[in-house]
Amino acid sequence: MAVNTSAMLKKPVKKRFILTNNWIGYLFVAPLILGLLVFHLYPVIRSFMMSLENTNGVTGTFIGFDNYRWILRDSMFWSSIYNTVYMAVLSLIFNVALSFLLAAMINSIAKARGVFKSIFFIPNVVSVIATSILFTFLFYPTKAGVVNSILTMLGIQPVEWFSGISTSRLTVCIMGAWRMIGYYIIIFMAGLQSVSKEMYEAADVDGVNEYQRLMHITIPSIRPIFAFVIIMDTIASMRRFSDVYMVGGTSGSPGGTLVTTVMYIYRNAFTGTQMGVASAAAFVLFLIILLLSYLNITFVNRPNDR
Amino acid sequence: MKRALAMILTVLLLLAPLMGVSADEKKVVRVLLAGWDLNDGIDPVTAAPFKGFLTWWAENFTNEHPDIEVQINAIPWDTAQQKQQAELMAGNVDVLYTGSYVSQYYEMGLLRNIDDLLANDTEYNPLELFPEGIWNSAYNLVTSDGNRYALPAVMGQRYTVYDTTLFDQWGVEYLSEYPTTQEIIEKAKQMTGINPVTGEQNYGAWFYLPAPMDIFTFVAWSYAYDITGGIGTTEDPANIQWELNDEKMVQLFTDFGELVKCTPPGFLTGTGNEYYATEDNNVAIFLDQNGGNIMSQYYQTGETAMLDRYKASMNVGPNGEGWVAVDPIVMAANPQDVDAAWTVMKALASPARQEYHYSEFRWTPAVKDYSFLNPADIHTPYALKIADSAHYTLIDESNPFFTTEIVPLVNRYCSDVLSGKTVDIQAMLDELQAKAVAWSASQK
Repeated sequence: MAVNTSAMLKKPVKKRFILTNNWIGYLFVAPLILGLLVFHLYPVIRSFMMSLENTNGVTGTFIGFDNYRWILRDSMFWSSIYNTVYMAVLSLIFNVALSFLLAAMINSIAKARGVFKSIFFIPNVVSVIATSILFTFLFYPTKAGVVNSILTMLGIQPVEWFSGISTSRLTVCIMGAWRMIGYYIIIFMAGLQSVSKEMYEAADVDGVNEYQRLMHITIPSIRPIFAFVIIMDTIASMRRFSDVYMVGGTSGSPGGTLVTTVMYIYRNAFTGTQMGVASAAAFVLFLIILLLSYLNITFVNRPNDR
Repeated sequence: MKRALAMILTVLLLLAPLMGVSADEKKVVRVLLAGWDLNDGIDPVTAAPFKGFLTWWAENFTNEHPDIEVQINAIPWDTAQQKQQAELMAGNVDVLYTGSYVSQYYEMGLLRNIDDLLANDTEYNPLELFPEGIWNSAYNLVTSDGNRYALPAVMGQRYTVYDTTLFDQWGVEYLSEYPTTQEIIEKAKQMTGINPVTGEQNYGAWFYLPAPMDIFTFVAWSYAYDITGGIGTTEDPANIQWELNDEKMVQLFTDFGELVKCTPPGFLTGTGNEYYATEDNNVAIFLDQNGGNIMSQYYQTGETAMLDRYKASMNVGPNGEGWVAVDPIVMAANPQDVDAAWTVMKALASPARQEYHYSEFRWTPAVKDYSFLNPADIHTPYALKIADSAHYTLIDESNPFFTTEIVPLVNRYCSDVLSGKTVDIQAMLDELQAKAVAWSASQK
């Protein structure tokens, strides 16, 4: 067999990071890169710099990591972390479980799937503000409220819902589930429809029941979808602000139970003009979300399933 | 073609002096107003037409000042703080009407001090125009060390409103003109329970709790207990000598807790007052309230039933004062033309402009002479009397520690009281005091 020795003797071409003969391509992506640098990267860097200053956002003095020390010793910050995680876990249970079950039910019917998908998705297009106002009336704490009036008819005492310290977070999560499950149903349905039918046919031949189909075929097949939904819901929950602001204001009434970490950041930044403290809290939140996302990817979407 | 063009240009040049003051000679003032209706329209409640601000401005300012070109823009209140701050930082605006965060703009160096303008304008006497209380001490107009940067434009109404029908049904004497906190607590307790006449559940008191920056009622009650929060100013937070855990504070929280027990369900999230200013009202006393709903019904129908039913009295401070909100007119740090901007600023804050907004939109004027008020408006005079003796302390939304620590603390305390939890007030305030001292130390 002839061997091209001249090619073997040629010096390898050193790969340059930027190939100058591709300048047209760089020109096309330049606006996007510039936009990312200016509107994403620069604010992140500037925010980190502010977290090292005692600043109102315009003028400030460098104080090193004092803002981080302040928030890590602030019981209100840890209380906001607790509230955020509490509602994140509740949301995860409601949103992921409910949306998967509903998606599986819709997927099992032959007709009118589109109708059901639309019905469940409609709340997702309603604004958070409108939803919060609506739910404030639905969940009014006396029997004048819609939900409480139904409970009263069933012989159950009215529940405080948003006004109760023990029920406020649960109610916010119920409100959030109403808005979000439609979106996750769409995602789960896409995953369910991609599961191979041959596997179900083989299972039928082996005499597998519905529960076994679900646990041993359906769920393992759409594990990446679960990972995605869990990550998305976790990130959204860690950034919760609009709904709790509408219900309880910046004080997180009742009893500070609705003060999330983003609320803590907002309160320090815009009502207290303590931009340095707010920026430090934002960075700590960023690290927490990063860690949770890594854990989600590692444990939910394990390498041997990829 | 060229000849025709040359002739047209020549004619235009000859006619230019006849067109009045040219654009080059006009001084330009850029104005940004938050929440103002610029164009004529129809009131959605009364269906009555209203005159937009631009119409009023053309009638009252433009003709008198042909040498000033005022470029007016309005933005909604939603995100006004961020938008106005961006415009100030970009140098795109000269004069603004803004909200309660104006003191933050001043601290950031975005606004111009107007002491020199006032000193040089010998014909302009603010004390003849505006209530003395707010002129001398409203943090939205002047810093605690006397640097003035704003003129008052619109005021908030916060006084006590009570339902005489409920008082009659319960057989309770009406509130005095200057009710004390003890009087309010006693009467609120008497009227919390089942109404002896209607058999309906009644509640003694209501006030708005989950405010973003303030708890107005708590601030007013701090005046009643002669509480200042400490010695010092918000401009020098590092050297404030905090007084947040003394006997007066303990008494304030104790009595405030008694008041909170008389509130309806939903109070913690700002609801429970849905029947205010209606026949079905079930709350006897509304603290730090205003007569807006009541007056709207009167303007809409001409009926005086609600006016007769809902009476007002002063707030709980020693002279009947409570917290007074003032939205001001301010000047950017570097306006294009200072003199023109000052002229516009005075016009926007003028009693004539405030009378216009009262007549068209029922905004509360911040003026000394309020003889133009509708005779049926028995509520606004209370707000103006309160403004005359207004004063401000560290228990105030201009104080970052108040908004970030004290307001949430009061909220949590109210929640704990309503959930039946026993609160060690002294321990709670000792912790607050320690936190305040640490906060001041971190400001050095």
